[in-house]
Amino acid sequence: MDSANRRNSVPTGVVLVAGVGALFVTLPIIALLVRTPWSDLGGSLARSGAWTALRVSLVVSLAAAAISVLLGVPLAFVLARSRVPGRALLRAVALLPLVLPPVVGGIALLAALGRSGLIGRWLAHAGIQLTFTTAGAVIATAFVSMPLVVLATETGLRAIPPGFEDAARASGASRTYTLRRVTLPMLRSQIIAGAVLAWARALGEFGATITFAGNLHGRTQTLPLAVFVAQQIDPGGAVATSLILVAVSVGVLVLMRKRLFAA
Amino acid sequence: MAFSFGPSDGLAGQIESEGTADVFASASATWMDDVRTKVGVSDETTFATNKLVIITPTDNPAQISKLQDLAKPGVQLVLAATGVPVGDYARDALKSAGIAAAVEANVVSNEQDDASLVARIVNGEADAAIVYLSDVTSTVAPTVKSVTIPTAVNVVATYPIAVVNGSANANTASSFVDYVAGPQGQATLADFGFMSPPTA
Repeated sequence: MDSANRRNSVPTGVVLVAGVGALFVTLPIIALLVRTPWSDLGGSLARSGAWTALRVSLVVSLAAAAISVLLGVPLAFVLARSRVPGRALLRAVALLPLVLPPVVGGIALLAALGRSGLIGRWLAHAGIQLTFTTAGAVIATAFVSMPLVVLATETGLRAIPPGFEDAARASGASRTYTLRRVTLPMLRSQIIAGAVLAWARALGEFGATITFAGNLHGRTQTLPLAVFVAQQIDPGGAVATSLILVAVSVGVLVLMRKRLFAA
Repeated sequence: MAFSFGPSDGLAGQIESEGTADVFASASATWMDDVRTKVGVSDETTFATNKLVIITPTDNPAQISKLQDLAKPGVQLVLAATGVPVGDYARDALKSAGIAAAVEANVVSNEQDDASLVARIVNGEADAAIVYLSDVTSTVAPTVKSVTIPTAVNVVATYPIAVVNGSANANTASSFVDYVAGPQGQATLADFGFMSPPTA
């Protein structure tokens, strides 16, 4: 009864516009399904190297999500809780990759970590190369996905009433103990939501990866890159490969619907 | 007049699905063939030719002095992806030289076009790339080192141009094709490092 009443409270005009909005998103996906070469799906996927690209994509996106959490959560703590000067500037920089075109991120990474880059030239002397490697693809992807973890964690931190942590500190708990036993458990669902969003973003990353790490089958060619390359020579293969990305994306949303939308 | 620049394969795909072009100029006969078969063309002519050249960073870190050097273990080579004309031409040349397999093992990235290849070399990110002679423009030339590919194995790219069937401005389109293939167009193309088509 309750949900029926609520549905009726939406004005008809809004419902109509919402219908257009829904079509706007679903129509291209339906068109993709229509264009999919169903009769030769396996062949199309094999020709465009989709399965190898899926493996590279999973390795790269999971590693990037892990790095995003390992570095992004402490960053969020400093942004939300510390008195470090220039925090506003630090926050702006930390969130920059959210709005920066990924290709610009890739060029910036080249300038920093490329073979003749600021730090990259020293790494090269030490025999370490990141460009054209899977590790490079992970770095490019993490660069783009980390802000999502920072954002989710910082939002969570600001929502915790200060009383909890103060009480723990007042009863003699150390800062580390308070962090581990009081703050982190309260942040759990925010961090998980941030990690999932970061992972989903990582899975779709294209511009920073191809610019910084290049495109090599089995090493740096993730699914979006495989789709891009196939689009040029084998449109059927590109559509079939896109389908894998759609399936994985839908899977993520279905699995995580409670965490993403309940918070 | 509106121009749309892009990789030949991409442009061919656009013409075939959108059908909006009056004139198609391609960097390879393959994609002109494709558009001729699927959409149809008229007034087709070869307006330029081009050949391949190896470029390395100015300090030439992998010490590339001839085509065979690309097969040396550890050389970091960037090529255009298969299906992109300059990538296919490069692989043809390497096959003719009998070093296709050894060189393919040195490829660290398959780039989407020749501009990306030039960028990789200018920035010093890769040891060598195979691009068109016309890519080494007067701006690019001081920032890279060129290594010639012997004529015997070098692939001469021919660039066809044609009016696309269904053009709403067929007459203007035809005049434009004549202009490009004529003396004025040829002089401009020569300034940019293109070679004239073989005289029939």
